[in-house]
Amino acid sequence: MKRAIPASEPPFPVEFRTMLEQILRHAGRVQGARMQSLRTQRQALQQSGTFHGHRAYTQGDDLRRIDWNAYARTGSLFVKLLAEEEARAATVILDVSASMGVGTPSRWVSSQRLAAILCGLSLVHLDAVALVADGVTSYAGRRSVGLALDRIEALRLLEGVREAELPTRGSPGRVHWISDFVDPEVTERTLHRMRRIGMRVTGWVAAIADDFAIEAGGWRMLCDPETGREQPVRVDAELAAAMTRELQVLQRQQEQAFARTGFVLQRVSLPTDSFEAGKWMEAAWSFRR
Amino acid sequence: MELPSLSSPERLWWLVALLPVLYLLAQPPRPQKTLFTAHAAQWQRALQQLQRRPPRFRALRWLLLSLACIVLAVASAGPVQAGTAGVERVVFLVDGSMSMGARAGSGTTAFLRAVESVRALASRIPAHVEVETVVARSGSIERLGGPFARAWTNPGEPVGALPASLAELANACAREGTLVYVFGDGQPGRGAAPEGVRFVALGESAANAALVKVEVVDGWPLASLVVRATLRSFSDRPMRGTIAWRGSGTPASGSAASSEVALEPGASKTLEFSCERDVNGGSIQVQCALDGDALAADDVAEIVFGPLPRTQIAVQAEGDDATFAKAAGKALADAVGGTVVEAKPGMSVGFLLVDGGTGSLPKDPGPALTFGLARKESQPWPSPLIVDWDRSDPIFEGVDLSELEIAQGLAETLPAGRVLMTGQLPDGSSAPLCVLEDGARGRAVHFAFRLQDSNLGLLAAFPQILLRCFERTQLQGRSLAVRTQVTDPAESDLSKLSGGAAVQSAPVWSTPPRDLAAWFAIAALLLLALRSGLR
Repeated sequence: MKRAIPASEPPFPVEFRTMLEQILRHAGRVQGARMQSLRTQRQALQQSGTFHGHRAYTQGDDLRRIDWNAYARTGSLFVKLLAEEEARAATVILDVSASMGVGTPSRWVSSQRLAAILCGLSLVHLDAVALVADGVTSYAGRRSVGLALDRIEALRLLEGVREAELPTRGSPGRVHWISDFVDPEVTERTLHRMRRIGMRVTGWVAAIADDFAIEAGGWRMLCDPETGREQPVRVDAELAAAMTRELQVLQRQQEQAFARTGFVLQRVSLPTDSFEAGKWMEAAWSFRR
Repeated sequence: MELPSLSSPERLWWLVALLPVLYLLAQPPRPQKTLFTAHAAQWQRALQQLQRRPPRFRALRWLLLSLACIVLAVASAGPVQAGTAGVERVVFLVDGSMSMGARAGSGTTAFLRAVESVRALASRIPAHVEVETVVARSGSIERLGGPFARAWTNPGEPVGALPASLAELANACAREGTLVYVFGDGQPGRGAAPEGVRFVALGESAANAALVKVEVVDGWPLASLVVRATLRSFSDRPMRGTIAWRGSGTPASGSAASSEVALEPGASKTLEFSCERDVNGGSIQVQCALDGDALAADDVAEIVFGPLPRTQIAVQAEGDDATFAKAAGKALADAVGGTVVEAKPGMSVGFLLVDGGTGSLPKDPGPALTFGLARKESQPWPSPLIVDWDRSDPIFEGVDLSELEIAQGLAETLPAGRVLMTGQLPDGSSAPLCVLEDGARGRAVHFAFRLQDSNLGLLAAFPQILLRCFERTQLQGRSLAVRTQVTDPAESDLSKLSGGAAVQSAPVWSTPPRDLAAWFAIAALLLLALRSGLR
């Protein structure tokens, strides 16, 4: 009989929702100056946007946007259509593979809360957010924060589904990818693909204790929630040390995969014993970047 | 090769208890704690680094463990390798009869030679063979076992005759796997040696004479004693020597304390010795010493006797009409060799005879005989009719009292005691006419009538009754015993003894069963060690 991951606590209790409101209010002032600088930068770099397509030249168009190579090939004038450098919408990809359910407290709960914060910040400071989990759901406006939280809370881990099989599609622009990135090779291939279509990805890992070290404690039945495979292992100090080294290697591989594609991996440890906004802001200072 | 047997096969039931254990051991480990992990690949790499393979069922390891458990269970059941068949018990049956003590030409007795033979043989018997030494003597069979049987440090002396024939004793000792050595003197008529019994004859024929019969004519309570001893020759040549009588007695006139004796071959001779024995008791030994006699034990006899009763007889009679009492006292004194004295208060005598009078005897007066001693509460009993008398008591045994007539008796005058004679009262009921009273110093016989009031003194049985009353009232009566080792004259016949038989070759001894439990335990440990080397 396949073992089931123990049920986790509700991700969004009343205290969390209250705290989330505080975070969204507090983070707004911080993000304001950042957004003003981004608009100035966007206007200055209007010529260097991501190629989106061609259209026929019409009178009044900026001559700098004529594609002279296309004119050389076809003899007709075309204007390059460039996407905006900073889209006004963000995408939050939440990994719902079964491996996200491990850990005590569960990585899945931390990831849900992280996704809620990112969605909330996106709805507060941008125009819209697309939540990609087992499907794609879009939300617009600050009033949609509650809807996004309900949607995230309703998500369930997909048993037997591997991380590589999950959807990672989205529009070009800012993408927040929340996952455990247990297979760095698959992660790197996906990141390359995402970069090619113009996504700017930030990886998020809700860290748990098992990501850093393993405690020796006699016989354990190892269970992979994605494959359901079980294996009895005697976890002694020697094996625990070897496993800790492997976990450190994995972390380096994850960071290298993001670095090679020009993206950033954020590893955050969210507080589990309190819903005090200060602590959460301190733990997740990177939200402001 | 014979398979080992099990001394405690019921312990194999442990295997049933081991089955579920072995089943559980055959299962892979099922840890109770589950560790859900997203890092399965990292776990595998860590295990590979440490060259740890996942636990799996290894049929060979399980088989070795099962074998070890089975072997251990068999070891606990006490496997025993049966020994080889052969002699596993040796019984030395030694003739301890008197004839074994005869000293012939070699100067030693057959019994001593038997002791040496037993010790020599026992020292060569393997330790695992059970040894038992059985010595048959007069009236007893002594059995020794274990190291006592091998050492036989206290063999004793040969005495008397065998309680049973050697053949019967050997048969009783023999059983499967038992070798019986019978050590005797080869005296004929002891039964044929049964099959499988090794008879070792150690005797030497010799001349012998024995006191085969000793008779005593006892004059008790008089002191006269006549001893007749029959001396028999078991030799084929004439024997000459002396016979001596000594001990607690004075030879009568014409009887010598020692005399020469000559015996023809095979002849018997009876010799008589008369004496006055010591009144305080003692013994008289008869011993003969003949030239060439090989066995001294049968040349001695001893007559042991107790003290004679005191024979001062005090007579107390009522008035002048005491003719019967005085006559009875005198007749009794003549019969027992005593004297009649006048009874006085506080006087200690050997026998008190009272006829009539009023009063009572002191408590525990000693040997006494009273006739019609009246007490205050006594009632006249006119013409008592005799109902019966106790014919089982020595006093009235074989005595006819049917003609006894009593003119006047006394009722309620007798003390408590064993009723020897009863009579009929005028009212038709019965009452004792004679009782026997026990006492610490002696017994007393009481009649409920005076001699002059009956015709008892005139009856022919009266002297006999009087003498029996004297004997019956004595605490120490007639006691005499003849002690001699000769219970079977054939035991003294040493003329046909045989000897010189050597002990035959050593038998095939059995090998003891070998306990294999330790080897099985070692085998189980080896299997476990082999299993620990397998991965």
